[in-house]
Amino acid sequence: MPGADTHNEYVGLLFRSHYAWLCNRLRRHLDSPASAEDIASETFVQVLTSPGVVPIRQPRALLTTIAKRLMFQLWRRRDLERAYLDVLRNDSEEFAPSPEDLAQMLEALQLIDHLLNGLPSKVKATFLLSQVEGLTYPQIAAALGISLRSVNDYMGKAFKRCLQASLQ
Amino acid sequence: MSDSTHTQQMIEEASRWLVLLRSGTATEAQGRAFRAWRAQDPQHENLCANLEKNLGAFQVPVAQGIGSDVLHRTLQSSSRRKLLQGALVGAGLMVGAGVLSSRLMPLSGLTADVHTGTGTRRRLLLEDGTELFLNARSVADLEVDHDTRLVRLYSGEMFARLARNARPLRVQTSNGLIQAQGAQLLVRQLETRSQVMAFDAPVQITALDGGHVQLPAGRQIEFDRGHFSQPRSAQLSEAAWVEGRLELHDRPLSEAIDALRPYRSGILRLDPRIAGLRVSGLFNLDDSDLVLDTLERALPIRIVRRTALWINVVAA
Repeated sequence: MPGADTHNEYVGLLFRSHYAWLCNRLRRHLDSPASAEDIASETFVQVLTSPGVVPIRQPRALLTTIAKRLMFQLWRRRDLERAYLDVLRNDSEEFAPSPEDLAQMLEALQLIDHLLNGLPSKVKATFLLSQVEGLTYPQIAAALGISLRSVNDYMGKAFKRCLQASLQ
Repeated sequence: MSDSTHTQQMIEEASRWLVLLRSGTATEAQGRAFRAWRAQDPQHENLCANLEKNLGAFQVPVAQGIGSDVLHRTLQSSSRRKLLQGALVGAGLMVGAGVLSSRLMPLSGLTADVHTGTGTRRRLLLEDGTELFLNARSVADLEVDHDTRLVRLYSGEMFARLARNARPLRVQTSNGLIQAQGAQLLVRQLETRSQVMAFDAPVQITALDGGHVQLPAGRQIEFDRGHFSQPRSAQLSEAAWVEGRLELHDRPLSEAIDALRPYRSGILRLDPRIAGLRVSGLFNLDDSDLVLDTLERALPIRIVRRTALWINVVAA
């Protein structure tokens, strides 16, 4: 595939001409140089794996857009991490997850946050009771003090949101 | 059928199946019918497979013995944090009201010129309990007596909270006349146009050229002397300045900067190339320097202070 070669070469060229610039730029917004380099590298990986971006008229604008999105994801992940650890600490002073469990949980939380993004609190609570606790609808209705009809309605809303997020 | 209606219909059908199958009361026949639906179209199969993969995330807490309640609290508190990201809650937030002249001025039977300077707000209380608020750097003229409630807004922004059973309020801008009865409304005099938001009751607007519109509750509109824009939704958070706050939910940076301008002396210039960056957060209007610093931390922008009175907001 000659197209793929050209693409790789092109991204290689982009990398050589803009990587240092991008790292520099990201460093102003991130607390550690390591995360700036991570995000800059991930940005190029995304350009490399997205077909049909050549030729880019303003490569720095595109790189900035991608890097920005990645930066927001990183911040969001940190928010979730902080919130999760706060909740755990609040429940019990002693319990602390192992680093592996925590890393796995943060991946999952990020995805769950994305899947349920924007849904009202009650809808989230309903869906979590169904997915995580495996409760039946009458049990959920009793646990949350809502009608069976609401449980059905909330499950529909949550599934629609998840399906929407699962479209390719 | 267009592609997107087809997709939406597919999502609709899939969600109906899934709600049924998760209920705990689905029959074996229903399970078979769902599998048949799924197999009938590769798009159905694809969607369901992706969903299953994503729902795998919910198995992680199950495996680690973490309850749904912990997840729920985590998601809720972090979404509050999302809103408050870079926010300045706490002591600083409420101080503003005391420091600034949000002076209470009982009004009855008088015509008054009211204006606010940079960084100051005013609250005016009419005898029937109606409250008028004037944002920073605004000029208005009040005509209030037993029958008349007329505000002439020359520049800036006002918010009115009409008391129950209050007499109708009229607001005159350079583009027309707004009439409200028993409602909260916000009026902005922009450079050449006027902007009106109706929060809990409809508002009548008559443009100078005679055009008339009834703006429904929960909507906002802009108009010049003859032409009305399409109404769009209006959130009460637009009036958060009444309490010295700036509340933004996924709004362009230009809106944040525009809201800060009346709170700063001197020049505050925004590079148009970054004007569209999205901002969410709750900010303290009474410390605009801190707001700028917070924005700089949250967005790929740089605040260049050329002098204390000349600030450029540029791309980082």
